[in-house]
Amino acid sequence: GSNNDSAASTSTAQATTETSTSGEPVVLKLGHIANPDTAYDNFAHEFKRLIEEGSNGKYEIDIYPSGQLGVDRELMESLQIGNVDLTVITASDINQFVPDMAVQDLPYLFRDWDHVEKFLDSDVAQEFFGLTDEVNMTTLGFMPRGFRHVTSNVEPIYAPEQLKNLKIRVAESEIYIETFKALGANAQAMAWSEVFTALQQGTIDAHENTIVTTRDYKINEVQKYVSETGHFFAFAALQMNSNLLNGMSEEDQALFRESGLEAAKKLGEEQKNDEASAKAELIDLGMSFNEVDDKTAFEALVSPVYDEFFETHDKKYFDAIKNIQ
Amino acid sequence: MGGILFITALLLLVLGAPIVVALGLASWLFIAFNDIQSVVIIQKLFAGIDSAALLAVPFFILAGDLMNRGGIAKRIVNMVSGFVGNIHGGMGIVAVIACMFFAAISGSGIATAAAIGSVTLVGMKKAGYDPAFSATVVAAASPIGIIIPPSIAYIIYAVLAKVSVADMYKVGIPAGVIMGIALILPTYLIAKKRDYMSKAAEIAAVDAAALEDSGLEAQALKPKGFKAFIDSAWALGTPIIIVGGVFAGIFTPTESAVVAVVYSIIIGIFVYKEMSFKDLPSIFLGSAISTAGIMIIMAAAALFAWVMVYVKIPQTILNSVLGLTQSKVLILLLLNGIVLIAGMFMESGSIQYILVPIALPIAKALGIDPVHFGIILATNLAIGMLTPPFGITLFTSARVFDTSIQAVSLQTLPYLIALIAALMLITFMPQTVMWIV
Amino acid sequence: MVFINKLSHWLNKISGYFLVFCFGLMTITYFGQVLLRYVFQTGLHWTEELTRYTNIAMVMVGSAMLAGQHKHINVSALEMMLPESLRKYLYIFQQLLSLIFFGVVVKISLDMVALAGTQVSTNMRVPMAYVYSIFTVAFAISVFQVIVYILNLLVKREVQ
Ligand code: NA
Ligand code: NA
Repeated sequence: GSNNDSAASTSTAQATTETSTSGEPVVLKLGHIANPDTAYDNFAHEFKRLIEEGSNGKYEIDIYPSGQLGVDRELMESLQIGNVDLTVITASDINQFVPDMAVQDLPYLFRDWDHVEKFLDSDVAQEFFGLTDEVNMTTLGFMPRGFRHVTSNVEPIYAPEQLKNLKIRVAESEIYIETFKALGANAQAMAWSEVFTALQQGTIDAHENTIVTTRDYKINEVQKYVSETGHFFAFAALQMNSNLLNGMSEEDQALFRESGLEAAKKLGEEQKNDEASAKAELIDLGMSFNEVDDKTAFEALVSPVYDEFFETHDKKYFDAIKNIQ
Repeated sequence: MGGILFITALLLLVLGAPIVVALGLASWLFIAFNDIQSVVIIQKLFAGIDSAALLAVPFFILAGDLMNRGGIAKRIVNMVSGFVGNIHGGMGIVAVIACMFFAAISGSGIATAAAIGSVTLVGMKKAGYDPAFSATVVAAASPIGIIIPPSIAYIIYAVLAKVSVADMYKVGIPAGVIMGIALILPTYLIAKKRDYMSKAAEIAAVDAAALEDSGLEAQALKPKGFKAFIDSAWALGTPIIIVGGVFAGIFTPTESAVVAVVYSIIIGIFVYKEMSFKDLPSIFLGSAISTAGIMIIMAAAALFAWVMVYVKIPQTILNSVLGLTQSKVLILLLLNGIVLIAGMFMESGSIQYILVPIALPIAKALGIDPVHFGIILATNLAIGMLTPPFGITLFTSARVFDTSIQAVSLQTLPYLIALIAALMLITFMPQTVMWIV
Repeated sequence: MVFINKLSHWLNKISGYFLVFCFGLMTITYFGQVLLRYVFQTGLHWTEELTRYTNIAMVMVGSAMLAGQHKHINVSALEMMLPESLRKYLYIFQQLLSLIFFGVVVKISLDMVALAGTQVSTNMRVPMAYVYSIFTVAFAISVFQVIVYILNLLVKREVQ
């Protein structure tokens, strides 16, 4: 859609680039939602390093972690109007702004890490990222975070029948919820701030997340099993105010775009490794992991989710992603 | 630059502008002069109210009003009076203890203030307390809501500091008990000094006379024996259902508030028959307006905090102050001071996100256990909810007891002293809380 | 003046009905969430979001009612110190401050609605422009009610 003409006309952020001739660095604000020393924060810091070194100090990136400047929707709106110049956000949150991006939330979209990495290196990905330009947000890169798995207190899960009536908290996304309903679970949308206590008191029995987040947010203290269902794949996106970027010199634009991709790739590698070490740590802390060998039963059950999705969304990106070998 | 923001806000507060307007106007002026896009004002007002955990506030206010109108609060108070009527400040002490128990299911200070405040209101009035005193007791005790687990404050801290949530929950229990005991003492002493006991007797005499005048026999109103037990059991069912439902995992602490609302409606209408469906709209309206009065301030506070963080006021102050000294005692005292002051203007979660990354490495370097540091911080954050001019339990309690914030502020001093004494004990004698982990 | 007061009274009544409706709806949706999960073994992804947004509407419209009655929480130490004859002017001044803030945010809320564009909410997928327009409406009511309050104080001689 043509929303955000207002965003384009009200943004003053691009004015800052002209002041750089005075020798003072141009300070850009980067806001993200995660705590210091987490994947999101490391992604932001790697990008900061690349920009500050690559521009010989012309640009300085000031990082505001922990949602200090806002979270999710609010942070992205701030990016659109230029109160924040850069963000690292959960990629699914972009769907509220660009509905076609919701394809990333579909269950069993990616086969494995290798598939994800090939996608990120492909032209499909570049075109896909371009979808956000129309809402004044330029997507500089997607950092792959890992597959999401089910954690629970009841039993290890090998087959979808075991999800039947399981009270599971599913992250806020229509597709996520519909997926778990299709699998037969008692899917609950619950604010993240309530999840720990709800798992502890048994209001919900299960939740689904990446292994790294399961470790970082101490879910091991209230959950026993991690069943590697790998039902969704999670990304974090590095975004920049489009007006700000387009107002820069060609050279600077290239620096920002290349640094975004480079940081995303480097941190993606780290995520893959960190997933393995998080798993080892969680096992040390008493969690029990089980693999799900036969995912076809899960995939068969979620096909109505696809049908419904393609009634209102273009199938183009889905086909393109699936066709990557 | 930041000074102007504070001075404007304080000036507007002193002039008696509504708190939402004082914080809002100061923020707007600052935003306008610093070339910040002003739509952030709407974003923050929105975000300040748009939280799942905060839904406990409207529902507990409504539940309290329903319990008062439907006869539940009265019965709980009567029962409690039987036990503590002969103790100075007995009803206030009960309010403190009620806050401690409520804290065991709620993770929020203001939900605690709303819930316990509206239920103990009648009891403290009957005990002859000045409303500002009653409001102060609840304002001072309800921050225990974030100290005794469960508590979102500990979850935020545990994730930031990479410590165990379970450890934080464990040390929270003795810390909450220490705070509770610290609050009971001034309540007892003040009530004794003001001789609330004889005022309560006067009120009781007036009530009895009024009953006699109305021709009703007191006996008829006081069922005896098994019937009396059953009658009050429904009232006692309220806390049992709330606490039981949360521990049994039927609903979340936040959802327990709406369960209390539904339960109070059913008991008030069908069991006690002291209200009917026709009364509900006026009760809902009154509760909605109380909710608006409290939550609009939280909205404005979220905006004010954003402006401060955007221009890095708290970060700058912290970095400069903590660099002043290497002494463990001084740094802990400075930190306590900073958090108490920050608590005057900012919500506890925001304070942690800024403070922990800066202060924790320093605390670790000084050899302070991160779990101990977490409980010191939480205790500080709790006290910050009471300290004027900006204290969220202070506002909530003043609104619930229908009294003014300066009347409550004036009475907070003995309670602040007691709480700071508790804080010093927890800070400098770690074994008072750390024995449990 | 009579007409304006009538309009104000009428608007206040409507606002009151709206608050009761909001609180009733919140009670039903949020309690329904518990029933669905525990009794019916299912959940709806939009109940919590609907409760939150309804709460926002309730708080904003309730705030407008409070503004019109000069009943927002404030520090009233100064008015206690003033002689009764001067209090009226302080009240007018305080309400003028409110008028400035609420007036400014009416304008800003329109910018916010424009910014929301085609954005939709996470769960109900309602346009965020509708959600943000709660602020426009509520602050516009605040502005009107505050003006009525000031006019009444100027017309009448005494403070009620
Ligand atoms: Na608690
Ligand atoms: Na305070």
